[in-house]
Amino acid sequence: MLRSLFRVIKFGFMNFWRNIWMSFATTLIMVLTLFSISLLIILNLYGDLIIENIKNKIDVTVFFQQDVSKAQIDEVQSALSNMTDVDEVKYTSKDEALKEFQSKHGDNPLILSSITELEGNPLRDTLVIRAKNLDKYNDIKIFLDNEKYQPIVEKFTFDDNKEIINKVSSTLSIAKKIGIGVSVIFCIIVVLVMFNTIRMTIYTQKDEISIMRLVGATNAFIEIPFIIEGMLYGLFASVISTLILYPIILYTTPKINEFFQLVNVDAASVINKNLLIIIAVQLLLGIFLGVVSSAIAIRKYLKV
Amino acid sequence: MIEFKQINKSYSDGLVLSDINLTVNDGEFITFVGRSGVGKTTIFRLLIGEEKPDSGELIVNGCNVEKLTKSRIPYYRRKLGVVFQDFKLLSRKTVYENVAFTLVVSGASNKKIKELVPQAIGLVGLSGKENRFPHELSGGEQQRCAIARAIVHQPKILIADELTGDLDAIYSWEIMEILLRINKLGNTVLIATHDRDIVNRLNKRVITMENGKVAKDQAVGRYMI
Repeated sequence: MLRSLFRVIKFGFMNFWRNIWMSFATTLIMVLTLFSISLLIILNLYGDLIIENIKNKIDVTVFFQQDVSKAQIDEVQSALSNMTDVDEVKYTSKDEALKEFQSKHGDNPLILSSITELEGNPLRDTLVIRAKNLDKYNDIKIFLDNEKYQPIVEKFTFDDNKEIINKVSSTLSIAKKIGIGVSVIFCIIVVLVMFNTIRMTIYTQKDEISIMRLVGATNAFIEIPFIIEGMLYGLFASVISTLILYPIILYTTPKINEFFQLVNVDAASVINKNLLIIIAVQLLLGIFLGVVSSAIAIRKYLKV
Repeated sequence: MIEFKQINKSYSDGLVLSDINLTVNDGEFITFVGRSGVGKTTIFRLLIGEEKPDSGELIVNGCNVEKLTKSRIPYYRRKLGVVFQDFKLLSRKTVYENVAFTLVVSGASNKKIKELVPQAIGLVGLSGKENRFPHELSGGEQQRCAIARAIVHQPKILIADELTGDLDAIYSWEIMEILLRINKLGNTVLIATHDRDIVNRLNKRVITMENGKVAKDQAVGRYMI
């Protein structure tokens, strides 16, 4: 049994090598397919990353009136903190804000002098509120619109990135749809091409196959080499695709980080975390497509 | 023992075999003669399980061949040796590899292959030509290689259809001598031929077929058509 298994695997490799140029072309198309599917996965990962990053940047800033006491602010802060939807409330006093402002614009004497010309500190005490979830900002808005806070709250700004998020996610979803479409087309092409390649292998070996039958080779012994041949296309293609993909990932991740100004998240680490999954998907999908095409070709052209 | 009991077989274009009743004992050497299309090849196709009879029974060494399932047929065929008119040697394999092929695909161990292949090649007189490719052999040598492939797994029954069709007289008789040798070792040999000289020289049982029927069955027969 083990001996026969070893032999059919050997026969499968022979099928592959015998028609090396056709095998090469078939593998190449399989590489394209797997590559486009990997890109789709990576696009998904990047997309989530970018949206997550934009979401992190959303917050509500409450500016208090000049004469509001620290106790009043504390009260608002603790009320907000007690809300289940609120993730974080950060207090910045107007003095701190001024210091920060000065240090930020320390190299610009014009701004600094204009600040000092004003009487006292023109800045306000602020609370920066971050919600746990994008949808919760509305609740926070409603909470702050409360009459109770109106006298002490000068204004609050809702840094509304919703539009950007919608834009990014709709762009991403279009890109994903195109990616899925292209991948499906590639999958169909690869199955057709592989089917044809295996059909050719069966055709060129019809003498061998007829002799195998007459001298008592089992159907499995005759069929499995073609299945193995199909699996080999998937195996080699996934290796090649990974070898192409990895340098691209290495090159693009810093650019992605830079372009989208990712904070707290790093494109490279996300990809590295998912690299094994990407490779596994390529390998399994490649082998699956190979086996399916071989099985169709065998069914059609290897009458047993 | 091989028994044909009331075998009938027809194709869409007509009846090929009707009412075939034959018994072949172990160790016999039988020659089937008759014009082309009288059903000799169909008898062989039934024997190797490639066709099933429409009715009747075909029993080979206690095994009902017409009842074999598709998955059992390969195992049944391993008990037979088959040689074809057109040799069917694999052009990209050497003599040794061609002969070993039978054993390789039926799952024999490498040790057994190393032991049996040279024996078979020796029996057909091709020793020393193991590494040649089929195109480097003469027609007679190719035929011998095909015989070696058919007998390497030591089947009890050897079937050869139109074995000497393309060979000249001297080569043909050489091939027959090999088959007689195999027969002497106790194996049953069934051949079909058109070659009158060979049939007359063999002095073995001859079955003459006509229109899908057994016309004559002579223990020591002559070619008479």
